[in-house]
Amino acid sequence: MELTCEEVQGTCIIRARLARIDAGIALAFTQNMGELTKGRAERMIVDMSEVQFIDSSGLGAVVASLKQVEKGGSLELAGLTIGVKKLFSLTKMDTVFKVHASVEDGLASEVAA
Amino acid sequence: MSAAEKIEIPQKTLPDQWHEFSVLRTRFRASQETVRVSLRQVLAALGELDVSESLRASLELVLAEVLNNICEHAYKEQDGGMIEVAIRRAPNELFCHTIDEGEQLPGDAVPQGSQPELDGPMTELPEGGFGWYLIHTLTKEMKYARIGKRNHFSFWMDLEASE
Repeated sequence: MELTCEEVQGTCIIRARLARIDAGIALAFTQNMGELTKGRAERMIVDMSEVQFIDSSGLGAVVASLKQVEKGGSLELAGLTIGVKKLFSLTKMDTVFKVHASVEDGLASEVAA
Repeated sequence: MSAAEKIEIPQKTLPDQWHEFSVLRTRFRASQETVRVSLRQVLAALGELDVSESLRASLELVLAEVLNNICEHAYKEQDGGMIEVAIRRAPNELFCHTIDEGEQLPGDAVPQGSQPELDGPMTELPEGGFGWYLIHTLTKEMKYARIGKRNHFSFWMDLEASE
């Protein structure tokens, strides 16, 4: 699975380089995210702009990823594509996650805060 | 949509009797990979129709949930069971019908689709239970019937008012 972490302005940008987070990949996604976020008591933003589709299992995996972030760390999302945005809106998960239009917006919003 | 409004929707005639054309009919052996392939086929077939990107996204999500349910619950995660998907288009709506030979839906009825609660602490956030909620929310009508050893599930979506 293509999940990479890159430090930008003190924030860990996790690039989700996969087209789908569905039932077939949900468990592996949660595990890989766990390995990537382990030991990081810092701000992390997941760049979701390549993810075209998430089903309910994939949504569960994204929620599980948030729950396993260590104390002092945060996990935010950026660049949701149209279908993914709709899924987050319907399930009200867009009220649970901090969602940014893009990674750049996310980085800028920290400065503003 | 209120429950009363749902009841007032007139009973549909058999799909084969309407004046519509078939978008896709496919039959495959259940697995996570074949579900992906069939969803791709559905989207490709829809690509030739004048369907909004929003409706396309909704249909992919609903159908993914329906097919995942068949794999996980009707066939209890055992690969290889038969799944058939037929999609037809009427002037103002899409009709989708799935058939499988797995376990009957509990209570011989379409499951409730209430929205999972997000109010509790973060550690209590739900990681599942969204499937039927999404199906209920994104379709305008559903029907389920157990006929012989087969499950027949149908749903309708408006071509225009895609949420």
